[in-house]
Amino acid sequence: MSSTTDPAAAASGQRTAAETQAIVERSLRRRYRAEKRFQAYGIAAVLAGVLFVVFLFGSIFSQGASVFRQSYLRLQVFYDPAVIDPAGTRLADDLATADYQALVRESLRKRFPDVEGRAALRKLYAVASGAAAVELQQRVAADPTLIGRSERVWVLADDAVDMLLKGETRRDSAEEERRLTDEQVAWIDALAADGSLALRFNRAFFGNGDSRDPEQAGVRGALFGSFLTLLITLLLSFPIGVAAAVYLEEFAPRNRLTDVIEVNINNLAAVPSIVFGLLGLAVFIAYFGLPRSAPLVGGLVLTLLTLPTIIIASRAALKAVPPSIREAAFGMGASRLQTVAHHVLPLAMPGMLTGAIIGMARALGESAPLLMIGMVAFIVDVPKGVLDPSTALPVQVFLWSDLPERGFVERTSGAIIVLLLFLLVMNATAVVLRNRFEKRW
Amino acid sequence: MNDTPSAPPAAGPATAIDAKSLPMPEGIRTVGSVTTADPLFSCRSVDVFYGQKQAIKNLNIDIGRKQVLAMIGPSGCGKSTFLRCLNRMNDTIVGARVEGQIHLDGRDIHDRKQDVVQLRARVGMVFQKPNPFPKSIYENVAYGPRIHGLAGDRAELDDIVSTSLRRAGLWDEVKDRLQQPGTSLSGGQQQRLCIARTIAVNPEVILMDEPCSALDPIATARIEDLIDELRQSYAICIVTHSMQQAARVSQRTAYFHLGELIEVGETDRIFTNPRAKLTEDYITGRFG
Repeated sequence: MSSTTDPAAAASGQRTAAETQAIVERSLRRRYRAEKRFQAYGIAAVLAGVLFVVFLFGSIFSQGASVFRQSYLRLQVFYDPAVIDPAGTRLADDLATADYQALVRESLRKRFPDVEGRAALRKLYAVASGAAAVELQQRVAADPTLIGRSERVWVLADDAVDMLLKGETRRDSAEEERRLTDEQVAWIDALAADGSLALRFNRAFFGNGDSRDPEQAGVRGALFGSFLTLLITLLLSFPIGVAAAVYLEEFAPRNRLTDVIEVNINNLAAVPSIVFGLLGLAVFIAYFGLPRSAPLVGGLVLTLLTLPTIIIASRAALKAVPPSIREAAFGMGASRLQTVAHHVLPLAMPGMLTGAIIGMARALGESAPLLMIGMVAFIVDVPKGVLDPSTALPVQVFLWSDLPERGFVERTSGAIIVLLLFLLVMNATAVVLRNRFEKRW
Repeated sequence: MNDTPSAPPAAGPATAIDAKSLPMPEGIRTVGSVTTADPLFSCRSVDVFYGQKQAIKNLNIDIGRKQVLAMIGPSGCGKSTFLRCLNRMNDTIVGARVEGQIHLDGRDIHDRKQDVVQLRARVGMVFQKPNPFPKSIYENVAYGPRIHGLAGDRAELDDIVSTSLRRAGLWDEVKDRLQQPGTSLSGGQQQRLCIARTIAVNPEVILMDEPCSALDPIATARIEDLIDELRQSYAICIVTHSMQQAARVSQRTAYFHLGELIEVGETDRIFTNPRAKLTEDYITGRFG
């Protein structure tokens, strides 16, 4: 630094290099402090976010984890021909309408031969779920040769029993404060002691549709409903959204009309979802006469909802493709469509898929518009097609969260867990797809 | 575009000496020999606007066959804009407007019957920044022949690809890795790949927009050698900021200044004996 002794600089009132350095050094400390402070803010923000997520997941999993195991009762059942098929016809209709409840009752009576009196017996029978008879009926329907034979069957226990086994119902509480009498608790303990009553993997939760009985209620109907609805949504919204984005970004002239369209697409993305539900109700159901509660209508409504998201994300992805690629293609004499199809679209595809993920994730979690089109109905059957009445996972969560039974509390959380897993699978698929499409340039 | 009935191609006394050179409008200020014998391109009264801004003012020039025309001038003088007029790449820019006549081989390139895709197949372009497609080397070169349907079968396509790469001087470097992405090559190789891609469709003209500005001196020298070779088969228009490069590779040089064509003539003459004051100031390094 020769300027420290530069007489010209000193004469003109300029700072010497040493002075400048001192000033820079002072400001350095301030700058580093600001940087440290900023980092601290950032870490605090991230921690707050993580904390919320941990709390959310912690509460959901702590409440919902128990749903994956359910109390099952092991019964020694004798398929009495006199009860199931007194006429001896072996016709499917006769077998289906027989009194299987009687078999369950008989089995329980044999297990506790000391119980006598109608009131006491009724209490004993209440240990098994109403689903037990259905289970037996299904077994006979699948294999009629069971009639006249005896077998050990695991059937669902009543949800009150389940709550006791899971510790939700306190044994030391007063008898009138719980749903089980002391007598019933004694039977349950006896059954549990010899392994006839145990917590097993909850087949019913994954195999059944909705039910009024907590132990029988399952997410299969809602899961299939959500799957079918999202399938419709994806099949409609992705091609339409991408086509709209490509046209607006690559083909449409820039004029007042396209400006208006652009503004309206952005506005559409902010419209409350319930409005789309009302629109779907008025248009698809009232005008076109499509069935209520159907995944098809749900999918159409959610398509309206996700379209703006997909269009906006796709346009952003198209904008991000370097113009040099377009120029190269145009310079080679490629037509507009060839340029888009051969070069721009493949490069924009990862971004478009990201947009689709965001849109579909929003659609999966949406419940308000589905309420409007009747997917909130109590539907026991698992939908087999897009026109069958059905419900969806978030709506199922909403429905169950409203019910007073303890069993539905854990089912609510369980349904949320299933919803999150669904989301995880969906996103993972999309990420895999995106990575496959990803290209460097 | 054809709103000047006084200037139909191949008509009028001014074009009697040459059917393809359009008549010269009155009062042009360009110094030097604007016309050439048997021109490939003939441009008259060309104005280009980007919105309200006029980028090129009343430009008149003929571009000859099998020779290199260098366009020099300070930044923003309109030389790239003019280059992009020649294959109508300005069509892709929103708000760009080209007026005047540009004839290729006696036909107006703005004629309604002139297909822009066909025009660009005849007039290839190499850009400032190498921009290979994010595909394999083979696919980069095969793309043009493929979309234009130039190859009947796979063998013919292979042949076009290898010939083009050989002519671009890239074959020996890439023949063993044709399936690797074009973007994996070095900058100079990428630019030669872009040239190979352009000559694969067998154009008549190659436009080059500062093809060496992103390259090191060795890669630049290779490209310049290549330009000299390609001149045997193609007309080449090259925009360059390097006057040495213009002197080395071109036969004719055009000097642009603020959207106007100031002077055009034989390269040797321009660099040794410029007639316009602006040209002289520029090539002697007084500005620019």
